[in-house]
Amino acid sequence: MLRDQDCALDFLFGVKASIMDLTRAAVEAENPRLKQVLIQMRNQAEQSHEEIYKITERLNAYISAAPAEYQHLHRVSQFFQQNQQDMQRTFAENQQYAGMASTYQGSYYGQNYGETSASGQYQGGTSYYENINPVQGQGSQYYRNK
Amino acid sequence: MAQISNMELENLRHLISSEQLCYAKAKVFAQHVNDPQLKNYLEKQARSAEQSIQNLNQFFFS
Repeated sequence: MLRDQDCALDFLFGVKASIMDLTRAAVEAENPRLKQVLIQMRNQAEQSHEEIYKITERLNAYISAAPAEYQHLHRVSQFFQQNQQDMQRTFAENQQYAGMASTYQGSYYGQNYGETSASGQYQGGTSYYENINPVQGQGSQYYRNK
Repeated sequence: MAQISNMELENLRHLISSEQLCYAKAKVFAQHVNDPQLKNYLEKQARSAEQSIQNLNQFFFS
């Protein structure tokens, strides 16, 4: 026999799945009228999800996720800040080099630009992947703690 | 001729099935639950699913 909590939980998860399905269908829709109907249904489903979420919490059927610890937040935030800086530096270096090549090297730019540029991007990319590799480097601690 | 693509047709098929299941479950659950707020929610969901099925069905012959 299903309890009230079970029925409420079933709808909490069902409505959540509906929101995902409706969002995907709306993005994929070409017919503007269908797209509009799907977006409207998705918005209603979000309101419905909020409502059933409150009911499940009141019935002690669902426990929400605990807030993230400051230490963990700080670690993840620093990781992305560092990545953003590396990315910006790489773009700036590549732009600078492309500018120099086009000004001073003439046809040389056309022949070798792709090769040199790709090499610069590859180096930037390597450092990025090392940072998030779950086995090596700092990233590993993050995945082990998860 | 219908003005919808094959992808839209597949999505409609999936969404209407989901709404039909939602309608059936909401109707059955609403008869069994004791909590008045939950019962009210389920009855509302059944009506909403019925409306959604009608709204989506119109696209087969639009």
